[in-house]
Amino acid sequence: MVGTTQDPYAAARAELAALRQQVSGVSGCIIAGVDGLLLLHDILGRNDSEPHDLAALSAAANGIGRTTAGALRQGEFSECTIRNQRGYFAVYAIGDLALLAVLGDDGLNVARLHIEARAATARLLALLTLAPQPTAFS
Amino acid sequence: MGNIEATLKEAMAIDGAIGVALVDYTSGLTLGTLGGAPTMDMQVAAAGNTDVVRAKMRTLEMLGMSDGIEDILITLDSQIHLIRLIRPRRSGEALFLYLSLSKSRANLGLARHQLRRIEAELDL
Repeated sequence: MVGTTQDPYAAARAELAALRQQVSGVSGCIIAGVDGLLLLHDILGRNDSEPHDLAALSAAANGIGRTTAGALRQGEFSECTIRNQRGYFAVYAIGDLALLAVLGDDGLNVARLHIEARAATARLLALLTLAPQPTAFS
Repeated sequence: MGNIEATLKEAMAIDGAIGVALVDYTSGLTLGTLGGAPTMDMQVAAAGNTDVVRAKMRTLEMLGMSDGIEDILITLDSQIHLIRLIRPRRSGEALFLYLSLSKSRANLGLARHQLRRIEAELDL
């Protein structure tokens, strides 16, 4: 794991911050396990969304995505976008075990989000994957 | 859908056209694209230029101007990018045509004129 000694997830946090800064309409992002437990979050304070709730919701979205993918034999779940009257909630798979969830307002540039988030999930997968052997990075 | 295809084909017939996209700027998603490859990903161009259009609209709002945008011209070293906003035919419709042209092969005045005509004929 590359990063500062204080925060081994600094690079992953930077990815979340970059997503919020680069894509207009993004109000926050979280990384959760597929079990719905929160790993990291980057959400603006004024937002009334609780990161732990978003983590649980992302697991629910992953559940329906995975079920659909299985029933239709379309391979692994990769992403799911929910659009509501006043906002968006998009969930992207980071490998098999983690999820990236993005909260957006109704002005979200969802096309830009897809482009940035797909690239980010690939990088996050590398950042979050633990080295199988300690020798791998030393 | 036929009309979108026809519109894109007409835009690509403009001298020097490299790529064209019809974009919904509420989401940044495209209703259709033509050309662009291999040098230009039109989906990326559409999403990026959605931010350009929105930024200009926000600027006009901040300036207190109630004027509308007819088109946006961006001149690069080797290309011309033309964004033409489509007058909404019904409420909630927010579209623009994005056209990239080769600077050496295109006639800007003619291209702008043709794009205006194509926009007038577009019926979704």
